[in-house]
Amino acid sequence: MFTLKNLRCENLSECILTKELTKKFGEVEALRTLDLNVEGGIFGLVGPNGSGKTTLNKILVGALKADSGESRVFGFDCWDESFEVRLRVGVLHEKASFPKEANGFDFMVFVGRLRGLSKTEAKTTATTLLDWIGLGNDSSREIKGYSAGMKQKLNFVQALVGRPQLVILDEPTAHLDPFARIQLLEKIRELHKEYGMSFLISSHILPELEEICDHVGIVYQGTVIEQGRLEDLARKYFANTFEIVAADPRVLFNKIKDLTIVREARIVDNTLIVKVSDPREFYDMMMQLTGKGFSELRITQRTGDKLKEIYKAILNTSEE
Amino acid sequence: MKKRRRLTAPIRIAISLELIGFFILLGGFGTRELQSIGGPLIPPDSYISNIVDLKKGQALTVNLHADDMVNLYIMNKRQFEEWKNSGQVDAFIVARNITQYQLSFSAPFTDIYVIVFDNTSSSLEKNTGDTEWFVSGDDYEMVGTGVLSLLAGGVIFLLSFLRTPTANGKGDQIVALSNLMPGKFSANASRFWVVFKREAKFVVSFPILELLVLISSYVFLQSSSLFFGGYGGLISFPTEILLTGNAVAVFVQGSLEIYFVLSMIIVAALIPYSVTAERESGTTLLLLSHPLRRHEMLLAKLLAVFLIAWSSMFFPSALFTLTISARYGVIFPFSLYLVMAISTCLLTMIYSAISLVFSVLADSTLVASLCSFFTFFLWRFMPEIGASQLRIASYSHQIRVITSYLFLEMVPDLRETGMLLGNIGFQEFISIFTTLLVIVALTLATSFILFNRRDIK
Repeated sequence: MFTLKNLRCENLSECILTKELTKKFGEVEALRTLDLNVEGGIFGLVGPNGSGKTTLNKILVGALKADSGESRVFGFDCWDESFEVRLRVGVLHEKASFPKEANGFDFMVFVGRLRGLSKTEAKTTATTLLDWIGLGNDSSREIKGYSAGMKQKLNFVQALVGRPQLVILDEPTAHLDPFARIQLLEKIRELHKEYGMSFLISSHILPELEEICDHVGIVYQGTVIEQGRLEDLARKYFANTFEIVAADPRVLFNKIKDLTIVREARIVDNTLIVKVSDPREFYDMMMQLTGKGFSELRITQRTGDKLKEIYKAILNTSEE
Repeated sequence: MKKRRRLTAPIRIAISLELIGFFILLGGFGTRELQSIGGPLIPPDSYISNIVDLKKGQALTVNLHADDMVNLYIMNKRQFEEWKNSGQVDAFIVARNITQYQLSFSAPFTDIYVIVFDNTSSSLEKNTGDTEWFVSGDDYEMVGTGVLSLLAGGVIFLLSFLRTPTANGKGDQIVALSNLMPGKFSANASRFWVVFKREAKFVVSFPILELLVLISSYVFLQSSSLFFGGYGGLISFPTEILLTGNAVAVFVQGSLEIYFVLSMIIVAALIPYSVTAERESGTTLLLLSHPLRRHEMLLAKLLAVFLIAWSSMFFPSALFTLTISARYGVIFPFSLYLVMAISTCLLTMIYSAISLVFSVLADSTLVASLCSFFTFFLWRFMPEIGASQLRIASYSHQIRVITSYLFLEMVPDLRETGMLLGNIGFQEFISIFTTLLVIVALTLATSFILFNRRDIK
């Protein structure tokens, strides 16, 4: 697709590793002994506003110095060896500010030169990437005249120059229209599949993350409270939850709602979702019901739930 | 985990100490201490004495300017007491009935010496307005400090190889040191050049710069024309002109005076604009997210501003000189331009280095600009405060001294000028020049260390 310089990769299996990372801004504790282990792929970082996602991203590229703890990207220390890290990492910062005087093409060529490309390579890369993201016709316009969405697209492609092994994206779909969002997510998937690029994506838009991420980390009050594959998390947090499809779910709902082992029951899209205290006993009870007028029952343990619900469940657990 | 291939803290400290020691050592040789500028009024039938503590071999230089005849003596304390009691003059130097006098006296032994301006045989008050004296010689405390710094650096350097750091093997230190050498030079230079070009374009786009260049040209043309007797419109050349060596000397000094003030404004505006404003806007974060070292970026910014600030002031001056040359058929020696270039270059370096510290520290462009400007302003207009104790306080005076030296050395046709400061020796020139370079080096080192450590939000 685009010709970019290859970089030597020392340790792809250990993309990001942080241990007991802390960072304070005055009295505000942005990160509290944050531990994170990302082994490549597409990793989503979710958390409420002010939970420390942006601070973490900035520490990873050496813009901020952690007060204590360790942070490494591909084995390089993020502060002492930040240059080595940045050779291998591309970043899309939230609310990025571009040089006022430059146009899109010149800026991309400048970034290419910083990334060690020759003048010709940098120009070719700039043209290819700008066309690829749909800014080809606006490449000669000054960036200050770009719309917020166009700036975000430029912000995205500048992070890809030099084909970094890891791309850190902080709110990548902010300011984009729905079509551009879908397009951007497809491009992320394409880059991962075609070129093996890894991504760390911080976002508030959970359905988007759910769509493209293999793994997620939940950040809450400056610490990663949970991380892992989406299915594993769902299994962990919804082990006691069943989805029951019945001919008439409301009748079944009335039948079981007062059972002592049922903690919570609700109907979503004609499916009865039940959370119980003892899954085995509940399952046995359901089996007995099949012979008593509920012949159409289909019971499954809930596994691949929406990230939104996993997120809610984890935050609720954490707050408790 | 990959092995680190970077210099450990002890080696970095050692290299810094070696550099600092080298500069201090250079500065220590042939230092020059300004004791006083401007003489007092001497009442009738009276005298004024000045006590100077001299070590053996140190030189005392006196430049006397009086409006009427006085006597000048240089004695030690015992001779001075005898003269006071008996009126008999027994002195190392005796100069009678002089109005202008320049001497250089080398102390035969370490003692307290007294410079006496004697007006006892006159009934008139005498004014010694432009009198000054200097003590010069090697500053052994500075030399000692320099040597100690070099030794300490060497010891730390050797010791750092005795222990194997946890992350760095001994071999890695060699690799790290070799990384500083030309092997990686090409890639670093290429990146630096790209950033430098970008910074230069960025600074040139600063609208106030164009305005300042216009103002500087105008002010320069106006005030320079004063030295040739004409004043009026935008370019008011005199109809008659008598170009003497003095006129040219005053011209150069006058142009430097204007440069002192205008370069303050230019540097105080441009460095914060380039460093602090970009950080405030967030562009620095974007740039530093790519493979660009912080010190490379700061150096590129500094160099771009320095060259633009310097050239925006030097070239109008040179242009004006060429205009005068063409208008009146006077040929100025080429070395005159060179003297102006070197002096203005040194001054811009000092201003840039100081402004860079504020720009790195401050979070607001306005604060950085104001701090820079007022520091220049105070420093420039109060150069004599603490001059003898803290030589860096009189940097503008020192630049003038350097200019004088260069002027007299490099523009031989104009040696006879009496308008410049006193002649100084090569050693003193090197000493002052080195001192100024040390100020620049230390200030820049402070800025780079601070910038490397600060968070980029």
